[in-house]
Amino acid sequence: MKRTIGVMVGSLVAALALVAMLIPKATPLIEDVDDPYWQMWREVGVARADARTVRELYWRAEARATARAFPVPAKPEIIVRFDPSIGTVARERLKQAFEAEVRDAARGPLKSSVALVVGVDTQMRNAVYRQSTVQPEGPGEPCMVLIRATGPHIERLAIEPTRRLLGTCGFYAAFGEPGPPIKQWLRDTRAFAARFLRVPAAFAGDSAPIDLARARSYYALLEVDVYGCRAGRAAACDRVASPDPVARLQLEGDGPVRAGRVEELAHYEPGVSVLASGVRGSSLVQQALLAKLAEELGNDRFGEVWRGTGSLEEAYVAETGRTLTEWTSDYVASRTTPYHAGPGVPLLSTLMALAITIALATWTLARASRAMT
Amino acid sequence: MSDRSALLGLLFAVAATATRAQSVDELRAELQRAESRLGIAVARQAQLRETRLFGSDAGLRSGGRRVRYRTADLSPRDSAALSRGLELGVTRLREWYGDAGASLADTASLGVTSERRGAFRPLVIFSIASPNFTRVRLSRPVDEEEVARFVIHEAGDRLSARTPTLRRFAGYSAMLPGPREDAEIARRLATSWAAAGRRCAAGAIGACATVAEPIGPDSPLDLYFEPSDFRAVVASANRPAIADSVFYASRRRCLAGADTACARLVRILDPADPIGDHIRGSILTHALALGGRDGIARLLAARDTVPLAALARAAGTSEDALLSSWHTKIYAAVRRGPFDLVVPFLTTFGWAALLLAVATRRRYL
Repeated sequence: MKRTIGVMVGSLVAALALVAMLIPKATPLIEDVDDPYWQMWREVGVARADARTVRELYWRAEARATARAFPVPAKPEIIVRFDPSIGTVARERLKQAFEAEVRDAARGPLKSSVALVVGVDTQMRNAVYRQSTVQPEGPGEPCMVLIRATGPHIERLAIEPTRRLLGTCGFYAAFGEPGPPIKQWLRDTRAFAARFLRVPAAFAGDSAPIDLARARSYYALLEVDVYGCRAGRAAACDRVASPDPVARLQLEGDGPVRAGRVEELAHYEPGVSVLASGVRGSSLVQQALLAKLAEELGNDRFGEVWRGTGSLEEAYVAETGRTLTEWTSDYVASRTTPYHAGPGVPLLSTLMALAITIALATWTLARASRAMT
Repeated sequence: MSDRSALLGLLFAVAATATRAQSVDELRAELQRAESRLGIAVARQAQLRETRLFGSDAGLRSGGRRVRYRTADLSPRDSAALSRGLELGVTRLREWYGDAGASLADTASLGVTSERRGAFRPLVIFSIASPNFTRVRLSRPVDEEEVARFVIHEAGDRLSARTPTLRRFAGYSAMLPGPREDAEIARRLATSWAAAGRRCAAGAIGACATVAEPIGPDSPLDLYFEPSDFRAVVASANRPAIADSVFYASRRRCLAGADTACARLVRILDPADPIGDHIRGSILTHALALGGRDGIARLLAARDTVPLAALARAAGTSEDALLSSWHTKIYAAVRRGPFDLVVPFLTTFGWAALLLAVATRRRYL
């Protein structure tokens, strides 16, 4: 008996000692505030944030300036311009892709001018190319798609019709100039829920809904409202339809924005959308929202909503009798698997643990009863 | 009154300046300044990191080379082995490639760093690194042969960096001749996912000339690949910077066996180089071996823009003769002699007999 107690106490002490050794030592978040290396590390972070902020401001200003320099065509037309250094093969491929996409969007006479401008940016870093959409400021101005590539890559770059070259300009080609409330909504949200008109074939034909529980990662922060909406929160559904540009800005892009310039950058040139890199399939749920709405309402009814004098919410209620929040909730539910927000117990793991516990208990009892008999 | 107006005027002027949108030119200039500041900060951080890693006093100087490390990290025995390894590397370079070869290692400034690994951090791992961030782990105790190999490898990297035409002729085999490296390269060529690589392995010298040319955006893909290679090309190609569900859906279809999807994607993707730099490095090594002690000098003096022409000039022969002799040499390294199979056979037989004997004596089990 004494021996058994000794073994038990010894095992307990050994286990506690092992746990004590395994507990990681607390290390300060920043090793030494006075260390010049860490000071420089922080300065590099500030310089990087500063560079990103100015880079994005420059991209948007340059895109808007390019659009302003464009002549206003007399009637709606497709305009394509290339930098002279871009080869004939690449030009032809991009031109054909763009025109095919415009024809597919308009499905009839073009309602508003659209332009594709492809240039070379030898100074660009951290990317092979960038694509911006510049919405028109005044009547008759073309909606412009601006592509800037780093030179030789443009020859072999995977730009296809399915890459949604048109972006938000697809809505302009199909429905013309939006009414003032929709125009304001596009500017307020940076047109994030209207990033393309035609839902890409792979996305529309994807029979399996997006598994939100499995897709959870850093990028899930970008789609946090999609998760909230799927969990039944109405306010989150509203934010899926009208995302806050400040919140998105801090999560998108290639690094943090300089503190103090977040608001400025988020609201700078709101008619210009720069396609962020790293946009995953699950982001398309949000980006395809207006495209899906147009598909469901049909061209005529959506055209009235688009050109109407009421807000998107009011126009949708007037057309269908349902609120936009309800529709968004149903739409997100149709594209994603069920998701329960908050703490929970994983079912399979729990069942497995219970099964093992019951098996062990049964075995111990059987052994004890055998010993007694 | 006038003071108040002046103050208000000044405030309005400041507010107008603060809210005035910057022009594109101003933003471009600001971007250049911001990126320049970032570059300076990153360079300064790298400098401070080096000081942190090595301190200021520790180091070993041997000839024109300098190796830095923390004195507390290396034992006197390891330090001596490190010094001998450096000398050995330079001696071999001089022996194989003359003074021009040895001079490639003279300016090398190397660093030895240590890191601790494991739950209780009991393992101390040493790495040797050069300024261009080639890093190799060292075994403990430090083996001078290993250090010598690193020095030679580093010299190969420097040579290819000095000759822009041969920038893609580096890798671990550059300037390091040996049957083990040759056999490895022969195996890699024979199992390459590019048809040109496999044809080269089979003896087609024209295909060897194709793979010696690094693949680029303008390279004719049909020379490198056959339709049966397309799936491998798509699987290994550089993916576009902008993730796109449509692209990934096509990629998935291709990898699942849809040949038409593969054929379409191959034409628009930026394919990865099917033949690594180390295979080209082996051609460089062979050219220098053929060229003798003046080979490196001829190579550095060559102004050819085609890599093979520069290598043939260094070797003092024609391009075809260079590739042909290189092919013969690397495949000689994999040919087995009649007795090469005896040791594996005896080992297999011995183990089988031992296990059988144990199995028949059941009481041991």
